[in-house]
Amino acid sequence: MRWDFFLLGLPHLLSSISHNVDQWPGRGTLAPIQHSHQSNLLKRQNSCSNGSLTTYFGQTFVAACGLEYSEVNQIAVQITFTPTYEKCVLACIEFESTVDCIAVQYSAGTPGPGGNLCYLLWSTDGPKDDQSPDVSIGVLQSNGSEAAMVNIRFPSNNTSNFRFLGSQMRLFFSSTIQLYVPLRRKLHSDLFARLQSR
Amino acid sequence: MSPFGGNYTVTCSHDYNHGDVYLTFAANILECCDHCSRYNLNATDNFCLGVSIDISTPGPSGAELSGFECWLKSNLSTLEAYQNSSSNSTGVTTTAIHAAMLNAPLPTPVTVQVRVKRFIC
Repeated sequence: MRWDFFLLGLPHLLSSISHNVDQWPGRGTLAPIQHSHQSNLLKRQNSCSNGSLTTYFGQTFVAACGLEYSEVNQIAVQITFTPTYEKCVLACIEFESTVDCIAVQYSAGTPGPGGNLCYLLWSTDGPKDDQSPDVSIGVLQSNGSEAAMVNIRFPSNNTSNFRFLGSQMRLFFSSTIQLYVPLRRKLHSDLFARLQSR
Repeated sequence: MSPFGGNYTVTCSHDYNHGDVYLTFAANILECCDHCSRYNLNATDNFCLGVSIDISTPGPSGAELSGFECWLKSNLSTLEAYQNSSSNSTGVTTTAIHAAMLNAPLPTPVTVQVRVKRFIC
């Protein structure tokens, strides 16, 4: 983990956790998930709202409903199966590789293990068609001001959960020490000054 | 065929059109089969039963993703001849998709079978 990146994003992370905490189904962890007002229009079902925004960790994806890449295989970097479009976007953001995932194609009518087919795309070049109403595309629009938090990856299993929680605890204690040490020094100097004055 | 276990029957110039369960990248059909066997070692369901490698579609650049698209399949019901096949001036077929089917049983770490063959599709 890049600590400098993490620390840059810490204030917003804490703010997100305190103000906008959402339960992450199936993972047993709390994750800060932000939805814009527009994305609230995107229902939890597999319906799609054109132009809706879905934002996770400062990365915003804009949805295009009923649209698909004609040759999606040419630009796919990974496939997965997710219960919703939003989870598909989240999978894109969580994708870790030498190549970034910058878009998704979600096929609500193609079921598989754990949900419907979700393509993670490394490119948005290529012809599109609108012949499949069950398919939608989500394209990364902006990284926002929290781009530094992109490197925060939530764990995918229990072992990683403990590792992640451990790193959070270390961060908390190191932050606490950073606040505590100057305060203690000041108290000591004040006490020393009082003793000298006597 | 695969050092990770399992024998595969390769069908050149054919494609399993559906039943994708995972996408990875491989240099050739042998390596693609290895990915399939390796996938099964960690799978509890939706096993990889076969593969299709699209040797006309390289992945995005980068060492981790070097090679061509290797699609792991959990459903082999739709094996079809690759329609966009063509021959170059020397008569060598340059069809771009090849398929391989895992012969039962599913590989396990205990019953590793190593059979290496050179396939040139």
